Amino acid sequence: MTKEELNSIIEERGTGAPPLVGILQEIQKREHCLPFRTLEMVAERLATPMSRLYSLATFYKSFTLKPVGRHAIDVCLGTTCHVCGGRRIMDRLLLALHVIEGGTTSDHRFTVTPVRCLGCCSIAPVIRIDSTVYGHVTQSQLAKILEKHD
Amino acid sequence: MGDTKIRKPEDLEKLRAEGLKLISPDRSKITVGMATCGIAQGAKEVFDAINEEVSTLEANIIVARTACIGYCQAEPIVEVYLPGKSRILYHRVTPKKARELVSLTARGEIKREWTLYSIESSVEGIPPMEEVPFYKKQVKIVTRNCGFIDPRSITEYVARGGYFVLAKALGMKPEGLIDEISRSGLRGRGGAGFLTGRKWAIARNAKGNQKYMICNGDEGDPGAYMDRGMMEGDPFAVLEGMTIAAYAIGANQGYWYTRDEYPLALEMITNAIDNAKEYGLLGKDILRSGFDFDVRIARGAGAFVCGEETALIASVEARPPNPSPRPPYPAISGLFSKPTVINNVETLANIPQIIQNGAEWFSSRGTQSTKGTKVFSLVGKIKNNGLVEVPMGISLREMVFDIGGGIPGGAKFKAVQSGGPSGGLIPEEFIDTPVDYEHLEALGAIMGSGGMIVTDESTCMVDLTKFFFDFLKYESCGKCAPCREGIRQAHEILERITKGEGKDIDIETLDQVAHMVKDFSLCALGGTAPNPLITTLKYFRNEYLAHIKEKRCPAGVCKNLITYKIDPEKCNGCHVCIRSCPQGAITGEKKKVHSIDQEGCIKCGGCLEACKFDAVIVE
Repeated sequence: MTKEELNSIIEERGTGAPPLVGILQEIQKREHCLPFRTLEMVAERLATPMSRLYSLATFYKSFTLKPVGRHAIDVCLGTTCHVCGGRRIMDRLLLALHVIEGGTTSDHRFTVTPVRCLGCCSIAPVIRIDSTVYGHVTQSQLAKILEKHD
Repeated sequence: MGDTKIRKPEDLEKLRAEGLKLISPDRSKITVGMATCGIAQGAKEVFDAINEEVSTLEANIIVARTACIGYCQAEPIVEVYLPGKSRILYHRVTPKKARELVSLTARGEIKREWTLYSIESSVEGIPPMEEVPFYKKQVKIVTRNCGFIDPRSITEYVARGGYFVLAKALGMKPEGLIDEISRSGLRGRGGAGFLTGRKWAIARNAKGNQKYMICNGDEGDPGAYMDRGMMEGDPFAVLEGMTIAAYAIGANQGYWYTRDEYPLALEMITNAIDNAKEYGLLGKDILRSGFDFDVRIARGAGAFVCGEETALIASVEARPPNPSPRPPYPAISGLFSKPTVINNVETLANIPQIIQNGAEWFSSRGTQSTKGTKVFSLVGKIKNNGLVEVPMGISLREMVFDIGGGIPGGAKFKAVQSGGPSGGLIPEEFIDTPVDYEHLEALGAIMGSGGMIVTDESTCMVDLTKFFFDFLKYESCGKCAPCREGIRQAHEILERITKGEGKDIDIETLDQVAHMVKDFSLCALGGTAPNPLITTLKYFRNEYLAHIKEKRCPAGVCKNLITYKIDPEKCNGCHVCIRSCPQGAITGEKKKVHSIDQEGCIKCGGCLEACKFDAVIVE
């Protein structure tokens, strides 16, 4: 991310305390992670200690320090999904993609992450790929669902 | 562009007239329910198909969108309005059905076989909404607009009476408003059940010119999505409630806190705030009352503990959201150390209704201690999934069997999980318990924010408890030792038990750890964390014993304690399970009984899911 791009995010969100998480979210969205270099720029620009940025970046689940795959697969492991077999969906995905939880496939196509409830409990078990939510997911459907995301 | 600002009641009346025409136009209208779960079930494709067909046929039909009417089981849901005739809901609509509906609607016809129910008007052969079992015992007050109006339209919201209440409230004294809310008996819907009126009064009387109003939309409770439903379905009601609350406590700045996991809700509340500003219902001198109020959005980024007030405040201030000891309570010293009221989404959505209809009207529903209605997400192993709004005091049985329609597939009901990770499991023997704060607490559960997850005989209680502790282990902020270490210890023991390595002394140790965490944790997250463990130890002790003593998982869940087998009586040799097995561990010739190689089986359950003849059994 260039200095200009970062400046435009900061200008849009403001420099006070409340927008800080929002700035990090925007960086995460564009870069698929919070690169060390960009965090340094944020620290400099906002005169905020790196330690504070790091503690925010590592506290919240939606931030990552390492780059993620082209498509983010969020496997819901909320209570309802757990009761309805979400764990088995997760295990099957990991097996099929040869990754561990939170891992990225060697071709950088997918990153598989567990999430705690997407709030779609009525159609459990649920997975979300990027912004598409799939409900009532079964193991046998997985291959077909993955095909849609190149 | 003309002046859109609303300054006096007459302006609202004008807007209402416009809105009524949008809701009930003089020509046919097809509305698609497009909340997150509707879209996940194909509502977007249905919406596109309807639009395409309308333009192909050049039909004189308005195509509109709304949010979730609560009956998630029946999505995608499409409402067809024929002017002067009927308002009919069709369920499980596919793009193909949708196209046909367009041509039927163009001719003014109804397809009775696909209908779910009718609203407002009765149509022969179609049950009215009130008679459908799912809705019969529901009372829609908070959710009255959800799935009925376009959540992006302030005009439609005003048509349903919205913002008239704000006009009324701004003409009242703040003390009068607080008194009305106090007398109504409204308690916070986020979980703790603190009296809303009292909270407001404390903040009102707190010293300081700068005060803050925060709407807590951080629905971190897994298994609960009422607030998502509200924010996606009727954001203006929450915003109006928030504005009234701010006026009552004397706050000029508000924050609407929402989760990162709810992109559509974020879109809807952003739109609502922008619209309210455009119409002058947020900003300076609202409705010429001299009252100023502005709302900003604060976004969480996925942390359960942020639902806790002091952690939420830290998060809004962009500090790491660790809870702080209370007192001082936020109502005295909260955001930026100023008096701050934090109310949950559903609590705020109740406010306009109470001010409009009066405290007595509100408190006429419910039980001695808990007034009004509550929205629950009724989910899990249940036939009619969805968001339901019921009067407080309804029994669990009525919720599970009358509204929910019971357990699918003829399975046996086991327990209701109420209150999320801070809640507990309520077994069948207590199913006639009335639902309110006190009754559920007496059973060791809590009402929480309204997640009701139904489990059946295929749910292992030890595994489910382990699941909650796994969740809490990650979500504990780590600040205080009892919560951080206690939860980790309990999780380790539970992990061992589910692996078949449990010891006789484990139950006693779990019991001790549970009470230690409960008694000594800093905030409510730790204070309530052991509830799932305490309730399952109490009501499902036999299941723990089966795991520990007999190395057996009665529900057939814990991988180390089960084997998958094929019932030779039922297997017809169709090869489906062979294709489903990722390990190639199932063999057998076509039309002959298959068998599972236990060495190769990883117990993924793929064959169990794939077999259409119930021939795969778990022992």
